[in-house]
Amino acid sequence: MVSLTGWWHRRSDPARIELYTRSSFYFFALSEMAVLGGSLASGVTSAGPRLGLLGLAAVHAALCAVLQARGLDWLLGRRERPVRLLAAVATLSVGGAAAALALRSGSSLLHGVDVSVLVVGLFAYGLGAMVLGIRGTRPMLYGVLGAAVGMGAVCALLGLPGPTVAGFAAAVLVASGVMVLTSGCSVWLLSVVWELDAARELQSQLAVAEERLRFGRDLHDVMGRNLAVIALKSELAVQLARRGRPEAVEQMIEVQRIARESQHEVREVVRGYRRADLAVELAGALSVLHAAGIDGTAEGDDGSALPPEIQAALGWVVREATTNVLRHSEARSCVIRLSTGPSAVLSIDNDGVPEPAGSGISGSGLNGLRERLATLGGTLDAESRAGAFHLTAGVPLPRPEVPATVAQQSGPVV
Amino acid sequence: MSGRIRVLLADDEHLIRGAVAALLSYEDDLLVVAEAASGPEALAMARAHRPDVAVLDLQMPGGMDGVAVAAALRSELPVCRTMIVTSHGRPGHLKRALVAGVRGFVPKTVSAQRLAEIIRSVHAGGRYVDPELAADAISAGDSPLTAREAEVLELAADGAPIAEVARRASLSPGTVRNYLSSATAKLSADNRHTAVRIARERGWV
Repeated sequence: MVSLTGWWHRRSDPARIELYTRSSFYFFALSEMAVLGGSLASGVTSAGPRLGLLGLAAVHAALCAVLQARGLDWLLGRRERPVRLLAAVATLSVGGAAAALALRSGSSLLHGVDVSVLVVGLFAYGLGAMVLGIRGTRPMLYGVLGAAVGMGAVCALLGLPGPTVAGFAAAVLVASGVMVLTSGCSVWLLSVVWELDAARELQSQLAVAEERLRFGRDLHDVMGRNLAVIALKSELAVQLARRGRPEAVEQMIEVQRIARESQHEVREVVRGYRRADLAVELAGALSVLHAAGIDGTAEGDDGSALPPEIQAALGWVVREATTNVLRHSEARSCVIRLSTGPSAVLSIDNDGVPEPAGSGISGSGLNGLRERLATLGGTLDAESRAGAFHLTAGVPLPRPEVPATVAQQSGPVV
Repeated sequence: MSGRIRVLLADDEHLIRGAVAALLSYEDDLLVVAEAASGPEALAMARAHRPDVAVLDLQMPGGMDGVAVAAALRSELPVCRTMIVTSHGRPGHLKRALVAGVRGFVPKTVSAQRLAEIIRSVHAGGRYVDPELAADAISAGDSPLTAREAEVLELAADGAPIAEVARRASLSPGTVRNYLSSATAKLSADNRHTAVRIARERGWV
């Protein structure tokens, strides 16, 4: 399935439109063969001239198709202007039409065969293809008018009567006008689509550059000062140590502390670029547990409908609890359950907590979580029994019609 | 032998490796038996010295990073416990490390004293994962990108044209285009730049 449709799916939208446009131009060539060939079918004559004219139409259609393909490449800036092809198509169109007219008027070879469609068609299709070697509407307009005048001139040179000359000129004017308009519009549409795509690409690149600047600035704010302090304090420590002074130790302890803090702050900057999303945290927790060979499952709600601050707080609980499970290689399974009702209740059970009970999440980690939940009116319960560790966090949900401040006073749910 | 824990240190930054080795030498129960500056060298050293614990830098030259060495050691030298030391907590790395049987995942800023405690705990059969690094990995969610897609996407992150990305990744432009388009599709992004931004925001690259 993928391999069948891949050629289409792998293309960008502009590439698809280009494919469509190119196909339409190839269709023009086929239609030229059909229209011109069909017009030569009537009347009685020997096969020679008829085949000759058919061959002329076929060569003309093929040349037009190549010119259209190359011309499109030129207009899209992918290759040189196909000057020789342009000249070849122009020559063949005019020469072919003149030859057909000469046969019609000057000899008896073409009894009853109407070459007028062939003559007009060579001009119209030829010009429709040549438009792809021309830029701008004014030259296209001149091309159409020139074709009509040229047609008239050829007819007049062959000594055709006045009304016939005018008729041919008018027919060429209308037919090539339509062809030029069709081809020109297709090309115009395609180039606009490509330009839009390029603009969108550029816009995205600018966004990337802008984000990089912002990130760089933030990082510099955080790191610039700390690095300066580290450099200075290390230098001071070197001087102190050279003089055998014990204060060098103090300075280096400071350097150590600042370096570690910087690491922490850099991580905060990076994390600041991500948004809190409980569903993502849950998926992340399960994938990390799975990587560690622990059977992790999530049950109930995925929390995506919860208010952002509650998602962030519960996300923290998920992170802490998962990290805790990871630390104990004895754990085999971990079940994370989230239920939402009047309050959001997140419970995390795992089977791998070594004695004593208190060493599950370190005391400070537990307290940090508890404080964070308390600002939302929530609670945290941790207990260890029968070799299993249970952690339950509950946060009351603000009811839609009640302001959040009132909702926070509702009783904590465990 | 004398009951000391035999440690292999692998880090391509010799300043850091030397400092860590010097600091660990002050711990009476630890013995740094070998040092290595690249992945293949670490593996060779481990084969020769059969350490109890291998402390491996995540990013090392030589075509094998710390996790690859850990994976190789798991099958070749199962008694040797492995630990990864890293300066940046790209989420995918922790998962790869855990899958490779790594027992310790530690930031480079950890003090040598703490590192010694963790080495002891890992040697005793425990597992240690730095809470901050774990938090980064967890909050990143479950990345739908394959390692190759993430790599190519990251190489394209600065807005480089496909040809340039292909050169950096030593792949053909067509292959790069395929990776980028599948990554873009997986992230439901309009183009590769948006895909990079989404992946960045979620910490997948």
